[in-house]
Amino acid sequence: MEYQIGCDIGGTFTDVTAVDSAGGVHVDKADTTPGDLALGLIQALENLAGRVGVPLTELLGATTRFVNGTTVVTNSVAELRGAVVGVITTKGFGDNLLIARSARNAHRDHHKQLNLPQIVPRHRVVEVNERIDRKGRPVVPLTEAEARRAVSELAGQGVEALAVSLLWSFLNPEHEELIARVAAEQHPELFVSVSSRLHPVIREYERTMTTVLNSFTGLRVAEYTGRIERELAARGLRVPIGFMQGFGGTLSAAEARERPITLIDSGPAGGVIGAQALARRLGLTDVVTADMGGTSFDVSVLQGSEPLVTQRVMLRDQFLTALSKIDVLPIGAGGGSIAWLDARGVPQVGPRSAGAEPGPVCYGRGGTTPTVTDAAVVLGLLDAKAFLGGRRELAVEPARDALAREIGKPLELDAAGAAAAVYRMVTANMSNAVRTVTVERGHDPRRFAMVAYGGALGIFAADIARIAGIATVVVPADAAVFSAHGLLASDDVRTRARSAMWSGGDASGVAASLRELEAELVGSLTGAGYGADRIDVRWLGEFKFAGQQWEITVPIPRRADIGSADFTADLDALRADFPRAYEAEYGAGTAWVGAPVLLMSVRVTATGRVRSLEPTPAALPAEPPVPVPSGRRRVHLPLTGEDADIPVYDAPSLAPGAELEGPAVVEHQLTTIQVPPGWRLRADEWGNHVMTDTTSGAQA
Amino acid sequence: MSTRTDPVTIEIFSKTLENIAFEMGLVMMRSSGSPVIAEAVDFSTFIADAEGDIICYAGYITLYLGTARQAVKHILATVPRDKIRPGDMFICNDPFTTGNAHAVDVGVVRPIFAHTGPEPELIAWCWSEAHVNDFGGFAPGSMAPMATEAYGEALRLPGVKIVDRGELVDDIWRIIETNIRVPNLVMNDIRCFIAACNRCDERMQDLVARYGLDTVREYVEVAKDLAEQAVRDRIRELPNGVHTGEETVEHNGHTNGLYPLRCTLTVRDDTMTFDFTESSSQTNGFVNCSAAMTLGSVASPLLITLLSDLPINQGTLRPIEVITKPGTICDARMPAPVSSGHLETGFRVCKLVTRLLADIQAASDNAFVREHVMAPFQDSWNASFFYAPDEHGELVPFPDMNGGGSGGGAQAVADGMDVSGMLAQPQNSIPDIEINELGYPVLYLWRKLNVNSGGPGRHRGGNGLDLAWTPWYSPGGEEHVMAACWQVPPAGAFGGYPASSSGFQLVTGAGADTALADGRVPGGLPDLAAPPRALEGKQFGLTVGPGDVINMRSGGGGGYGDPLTREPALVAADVRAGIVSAAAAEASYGVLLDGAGRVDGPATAALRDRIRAERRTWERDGDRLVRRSPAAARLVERDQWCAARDGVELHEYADPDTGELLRTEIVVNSGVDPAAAR
Repeated sequence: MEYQIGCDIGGTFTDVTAVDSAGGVHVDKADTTPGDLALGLIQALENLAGRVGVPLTELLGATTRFVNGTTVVTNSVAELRGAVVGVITTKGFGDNLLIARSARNAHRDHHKQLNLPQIVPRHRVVEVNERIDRKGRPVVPLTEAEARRAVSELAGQGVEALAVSLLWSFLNPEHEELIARVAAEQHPELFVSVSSRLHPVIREYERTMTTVLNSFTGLRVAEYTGRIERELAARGLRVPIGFMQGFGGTLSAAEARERPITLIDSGPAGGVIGAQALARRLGLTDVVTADMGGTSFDVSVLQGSEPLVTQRVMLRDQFLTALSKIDVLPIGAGGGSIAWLDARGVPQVGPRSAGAEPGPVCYGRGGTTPTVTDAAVVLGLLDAKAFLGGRRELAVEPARDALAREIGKPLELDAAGAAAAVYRMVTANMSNAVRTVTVERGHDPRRFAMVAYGGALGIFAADIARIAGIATVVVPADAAVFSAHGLLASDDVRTRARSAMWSGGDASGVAASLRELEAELVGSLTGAGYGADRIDVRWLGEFKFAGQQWEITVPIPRRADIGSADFTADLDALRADFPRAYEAEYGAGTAWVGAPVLLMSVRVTATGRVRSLEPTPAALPAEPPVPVPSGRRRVHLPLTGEDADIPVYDAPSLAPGAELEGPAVVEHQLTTIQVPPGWRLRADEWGNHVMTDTTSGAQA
Repeated sequence: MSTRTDPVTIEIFSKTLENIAFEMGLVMMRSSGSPVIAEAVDFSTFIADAEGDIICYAGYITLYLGTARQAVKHILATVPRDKIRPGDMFICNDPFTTGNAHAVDVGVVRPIFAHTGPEPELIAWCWSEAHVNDFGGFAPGSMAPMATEAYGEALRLPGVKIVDRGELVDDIWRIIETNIRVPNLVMNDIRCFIAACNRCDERMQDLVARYGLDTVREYVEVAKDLAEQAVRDRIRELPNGVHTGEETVEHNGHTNGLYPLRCTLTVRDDTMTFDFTESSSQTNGFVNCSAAMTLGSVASPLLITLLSDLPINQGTLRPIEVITKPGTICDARMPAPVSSGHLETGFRVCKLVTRLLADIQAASDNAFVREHVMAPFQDSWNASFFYAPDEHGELVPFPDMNGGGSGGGAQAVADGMDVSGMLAQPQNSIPDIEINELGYPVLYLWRKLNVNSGGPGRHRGGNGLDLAWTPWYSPGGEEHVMAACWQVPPAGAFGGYPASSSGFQLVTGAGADTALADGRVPGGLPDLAAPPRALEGKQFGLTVGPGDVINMRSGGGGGYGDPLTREPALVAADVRAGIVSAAAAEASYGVLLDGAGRVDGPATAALRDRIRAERRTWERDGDRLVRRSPAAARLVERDQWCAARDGVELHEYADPDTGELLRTEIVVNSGVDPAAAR
């Protein structure tokens, strides 16, 4: 037997999934061990081996693919815990990180308009006497002595890592490379990030920020990747571990150590990639992915089953970077999100969360402010006795009291009415987020299906979908550990960008950049064992009208062995077509008439296509089996305000092909699905639960 | 869909509206080429009901709240109803009719019709507006300091059709094109306003389809009432009383005058009245502003402090009255020039209202209200316009958006934000150096935080910028500078000190090009070959040649609370970061550091005692002690800066028993006689 293993180390749980070559899927989890993540990982794998029924060494020895998604980088940035970093930058511009292009944000409340936290205090920023201008000319050359002075000064301050970012280095990297060389010679123990290697594109603030964050997270990633490589090898793993990037796609450990910051937000990416694989399996082309955890609700769009990628990612709502990653919109709506009344007496939910500690009131760990989970348990949607497969009993009465006190009394509602208000508010917030990623980006939601995962979402998914105009909801078989499975669907992806600055005329320089980047990336994939037939390469250009601030991404046709003249002709054609591409995005009549079109930068993405083991569908009976409820429960239906006795079904007992009508509740060990009135649920041959809005004429 | 109007349903509806107004802004930012829109986020979008009452305002720039409504009201008053049709759009930029801040702020207004009945029915309006590059008149950029009348300032369009039933009105388009300097850029911006209005129309159609027309109308009214009630409840948290305050508008472009702006704020139960009647008469320079602008300038600090958690619609404004007198500097009438009115009078209104609110909010029993006290921002958008040919001989106008880099006021709970931009400008950003050097023929020598520019206090005011550039790939050209806050710095709050103010300097013969060629990057003014020449608050037509240097130092925000109560370790950290000088640490904060830059605890305690003892020797003034000094000299003693001006004083008030600094005030004694200012 051959296995592929996906492993998602989250904040609370480490989830693992194995798919075997017979199409069997095995899942398990263990508590995450923040001090040494490898411990929780090994435990989860031991549990998994138990499920498969073989010793761990045998499981790992027969594993042909191992993919890991980790919050190491996400947490390092979120908690501002990382390496002691020193920055070397151009003389006169050492305050760049403090100035932060003006850190004003969209908040009206001035309490939320504060200076950014500084990862690198100003005294660890050293300026060097050098200057390159906008033509790449070294106006003031950097001397080796000056480079040595800067490196020594920071080494003397005890830094663990360096971030080198000079003005215009993306046009002329000589000065940065000199510093890197000096650092490597004099202080080989330092982790060094160089802006012109990481992201050789204009805009020094985001380039610097990216370089600094790369150094900040570098040591932790080196330590982490090294440790799990050793631990798993010691237990028999013979294949290299793939590390998930926020961009989607995996990297080798060596690459991850060089570009650690690209691992940021790999968890959400794993879920989206998994939804992509699921959508392909089910024949869905336009999909909204939705993931609800304890603190947030994350939505993303697959259009034509391709995820959207966003550029210039802002981290922590504070740090503008040059990173690109799968476009996931997070809002503060999770199971632990706190319900409160604003100054007008209107109920609001989140973004504050009770977190894991003390957690919702019903956890009985000292929480006193009502949360979304409390509302669900008071409504009767969540079974207080069956939470997490019965591992934790929920305290209903305290939750009821908290809702009645904090929300009910001021609004003259009883506890159930207050819970319904919280349910409606959080559902509306989540639905707005779904609309934001669909309608506002020009998509008609009625064409979309929603793939809903994360332990808490099954309760809300159908109502969110209906408000957003979506008629089909898929709750995947392993909804509660979905991201781990998703990792296995990820291809091996490398991407690099480079400045282009082309506005017509001979484009051989651009062609050379694309070829160099391609050669580098293809070389890296070939080194990782991919044959030419399994490597796909895409070329992209960032175009804009001269005078505009931001670019639009346009694919550049990639033709092998193309001559310079033909390449120039291709680019000219894209330039001529740009007004049309632009108006497709912003509407007729908005293209800038008469303004030249500029190609600011190019990007190459190389994908090594992996061979994923697929789960085997169960046989469907000719006649849909009739499901039998395991019991009935009193539920306060939040949208109509009625109390009703509704049937409860045990998910594993629903045979493939079984169908049932709402209102009903379907309970799985780790997740609960609410089927509201007007919805039909069907258990499919892969163990997914597919809900359809029977009141809607639209079909996905 | 249920029609019961419970608060949850209304809130869900209101959030959808908000979402639409914000999305209009996203369309503008993403499709615009203008740094003013994309970097400074100097634009606004809103949705009004059929009568022009605001039902949703995206908080990009709160300053234009008054303007936005005035534009629709004016169109409704002047265009016959049967000539307002589906697919129409109106263009407006006239401060005197459609209420725009200045004529270079151009708005597109679109009526929105429901198509549910037999006839299309007017149900709403939307607006998208931004500062464009030029709109004609005397001066490039249509900021015309030389103007003595509004006639020469710019082309004015009082809400005329630019799109008629979906068709571009070619005649208007050609008139605009003919009258402005950079038609391509500006016409493209107007296209992006149209795109934003189109998006709003589409989404409003969806909303009507989803909720039904009657329900939409009902919810809009309920949302306004809810907001109004919440604002009234909040005002009730303030003690009743009458408070007066004064700020001073500086230098009108021709005359280095001082123009008092006076406000009497009355809080009575659940209403607030801001009365500016006693302010200076309008002047013949470009610093006057319209009544609509004054309303927006009053609303901005209110919406950021007292009402920061409440939505913005017409209901929010109902309990708030703003009284101005026609013909004054804050309610200008034709033909007074107004092209810099919002930057000058408008932002002074913001500062004045911030100060008045601080005093009143601090006396509230409600902790939220007290904690939202803040000191004034610098609120000086330090404009620099450089007109020089590039290496191909093509004239490249360079408006430096770093002008939006002055500091924010300290808060009751935190330090002010460095490089915050203007109070009324959430989402402000300043450009990357590489982006400016790519687009314009200049090379920056430095851009750093302006040392000691934030007002000292228990919480320090945010710092502004100190930057310098020299012409590059250019033979040089002509420079114009304008700073609104130059001689009269922003006050501190509750014993916090004023911030430094803003000013430009020109270094002719600086030899920056030679220094660079010699392998030296100049790190500050002392590294240049010639001494700097301080420029006036507004100065035009300066020659900047090769190697010459323009230096801008923008001021910070006021401090909060007696700086002797600031945690010494925070002062030491600021000194180590180079944000506060050792001299300022000693003079303002009473903090002494040892050779390694650490706080010398005993010496600091002793120095703080000495400073308090010195305060107790000040002159008696009622139940407090006072020290009155010329502002500039007193700031220089603290290693801060403002341009010296006779009659501008700093008054410091201390507690006779403890020596604690209770209050500081900037007092201007020599205002130009309002009548003589004409």
